[in-house]
Amino acid sequence: MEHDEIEILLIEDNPHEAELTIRSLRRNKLDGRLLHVSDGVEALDLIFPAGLPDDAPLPFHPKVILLDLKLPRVDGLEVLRKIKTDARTRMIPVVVLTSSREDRDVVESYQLGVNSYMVKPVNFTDFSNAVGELGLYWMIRNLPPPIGHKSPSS
Amino acid sequence: MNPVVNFFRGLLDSSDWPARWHCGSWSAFHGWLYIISDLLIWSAYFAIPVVIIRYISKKQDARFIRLYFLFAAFILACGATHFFDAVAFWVPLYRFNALVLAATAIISWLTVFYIVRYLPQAMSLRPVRELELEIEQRRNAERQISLLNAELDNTVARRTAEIADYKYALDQSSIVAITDQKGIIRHVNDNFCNISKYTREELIGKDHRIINSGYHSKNYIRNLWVTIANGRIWKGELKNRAKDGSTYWVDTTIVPFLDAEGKPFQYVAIRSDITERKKAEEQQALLASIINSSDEAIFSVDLQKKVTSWNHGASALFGYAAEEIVGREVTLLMAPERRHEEDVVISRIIAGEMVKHFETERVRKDGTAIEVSINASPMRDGDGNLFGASKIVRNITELKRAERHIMELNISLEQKVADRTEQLGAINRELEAFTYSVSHDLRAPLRIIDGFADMLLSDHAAELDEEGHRKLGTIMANAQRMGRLIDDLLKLSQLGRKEVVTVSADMNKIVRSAIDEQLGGYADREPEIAVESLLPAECAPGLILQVWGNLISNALKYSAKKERPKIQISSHVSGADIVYVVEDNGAGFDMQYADKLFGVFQRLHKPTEYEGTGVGLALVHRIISKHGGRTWATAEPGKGAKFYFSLPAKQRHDNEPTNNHGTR
Repeated sequence: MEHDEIEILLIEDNPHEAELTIRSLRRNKLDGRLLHVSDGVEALDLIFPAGLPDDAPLPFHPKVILLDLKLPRVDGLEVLRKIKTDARTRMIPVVVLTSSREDRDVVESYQLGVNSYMVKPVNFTDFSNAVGELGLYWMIRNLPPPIGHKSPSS
Repeated sequence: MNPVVNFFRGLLDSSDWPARWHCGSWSAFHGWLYIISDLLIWSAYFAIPVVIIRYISKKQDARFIRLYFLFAAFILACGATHFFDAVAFWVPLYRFNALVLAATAIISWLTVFYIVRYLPQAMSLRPVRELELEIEQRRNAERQISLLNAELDNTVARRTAEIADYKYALDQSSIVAITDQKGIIRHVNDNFCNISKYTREELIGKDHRIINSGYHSKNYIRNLWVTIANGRIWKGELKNRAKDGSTYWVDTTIVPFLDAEGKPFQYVAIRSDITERKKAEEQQALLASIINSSDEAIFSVDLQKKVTSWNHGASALFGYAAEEIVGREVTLLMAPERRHEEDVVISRIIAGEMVKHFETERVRKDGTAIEVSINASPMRDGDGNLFGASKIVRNITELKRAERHIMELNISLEQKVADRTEQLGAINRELEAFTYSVSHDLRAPLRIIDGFADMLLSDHAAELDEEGHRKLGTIMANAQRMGRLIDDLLKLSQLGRKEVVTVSADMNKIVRSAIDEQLGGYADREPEIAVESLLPAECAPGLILQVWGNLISNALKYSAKKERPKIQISSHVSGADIVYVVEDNGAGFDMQYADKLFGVFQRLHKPTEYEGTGVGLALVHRIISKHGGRTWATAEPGKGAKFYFSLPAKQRHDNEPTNNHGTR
């Protein structure tokens, strides 16, 4: 699967959590074009490949990024900041999927420009339903930004 | 016949002789010359004694009165002889005539005898001329005497007036009393009466001790008496007692008046009232003793900086005795580099200013330095002329030391507070990190447990028997329960960090939405919830919604097993608070556990009876406390419970709404 075919990027360090998320998406057949990376550095390397000039078009543009906040090395909020401050990636929808309902996380995420913030229920049934709905929404209902279009830099 | 008897028998018988006219031959002229001359002599001789008698009777101091009378009788007798001589011309009474002649002869000789006897004396009477001269001299002398007398009278009058004036002046100026040698009062003047408040009648005749105050020592009084009894003048001050018991001071001079033997027979006491002066002196002495006994150092300096007075306090403070420093410059008390301070102080004093709380350093006699606070005030004489400064010096060495100590303590206290604040901050940050990590890290494993159990159940259902299903179900239920516990705990901890921002809220609306939220699961058998019209309150609506939600869900939960669950919601005013009540007819609880009701994780029922985490009421309590209100409950097992919470009718406005991201 080439990078440009990826529609969902899941950034989640816990493989079991990732498995639950993927299983929930699978129920709605949304797991086909999904890539799972397990930390922030990996995610950023993927989005901003090394050696590429600052203004060169990026090869990677998923329909949605599902981002956990608590990540090793570079945490989720940092990843979010990088994505939302780069004109080439700013328009990519990012959904925070986290266990935290801490105000500071919520507030900071929105300040950085997150498109949606979901607190993962502990109850798996609720979790599965929520992730399913979320996948359906971003993959099918939502109209993604046109690929290769750069937003005006701020 | 006896011729003598015949003589007296025929005394007035004229028949023996013819009338003289017929004896001899008398010419008429001769006869009448004789007769008339005899009568003229007789009348003249008659007149002379009359004149003499009259003269004597007028002149009372006449001497030789007997002689005068004798002479008068002699003349009268001579006259009578001439009368009868003339009568003999007609009636010749020669016998009677002879008798008259005999009487005349006797009288004449008597007269001779008297004259002989008294003539020398009469001759000694000075001649009239001499007398006149003497009279003249006497008159002159009398005139001179009367002149002198007049002059003397004048002098006496003048002196008397002078003495009266002196007496008046004395009476006006002084208090005067005169006593006899025994001290009995004989005279007092008005001033004496005025000051002693006795009347003159009460004083005269009384012993002088009536005004004795008993103030003076026996010796003092004895000395007084000894002095005056020995005829010497006594001068001194006496304190006397007036009739009303008040006392007065008199400056007294007692002058003894001495008799011819030099013994006093009376004493004149002249006094003047010095009560005011004495009072002033006493006042001054009092002030002086106060100043002297004061622990504060009090002294005075003149304008040349010389010390003029020095009290005990000053001696104690500086170590110099008064004799050592009075007269010397006050700069003695100053280190050389501080001596200019005195110039500043004196210049301010000269400008009429006071120097207050001037804090500086001074040097004691032993050379040690002390910190002092000085007050200096100008001193003026009666005419307002500045002559120096009074100074009150307080040792503030200890005070300053204490101040510095307090300052050091304050600094270290501030440091401690800062340290503690820092520690608290660190603890808080740790706590925040902890809850953050709980939020992130504790929920994930539970979800994984629940998720994988679920996956096992759905993916391997066929391989599990009923017991396997049951056990997996237990795993999932407990994982979920743990999840709820963590969620509730996080809510509680979040609340602790939240600011409560109150607004005026419609409580009916909040309760309605809480009921709607809670009744979601009771579609089939709707319980009866009666809501009275509720009083409005100032509160944070979101948090109060949670309170109502928890209380209503509790009520629903515990009354669910009743035939006809019934919930009543009401409010009332109690003092400055509004009290809200949620009443149910459910299981209730034993009141002995009421105090545990609002604690975290405190439950009065088993989880198998009633679902719950034990955090709901703790949350209610936390929210209401943050509003400044109270929570409590009453109940009876099996009959129902009443849960109350109060909110202040008027919120304190120390929690002004702020743009705090935590309250969004």
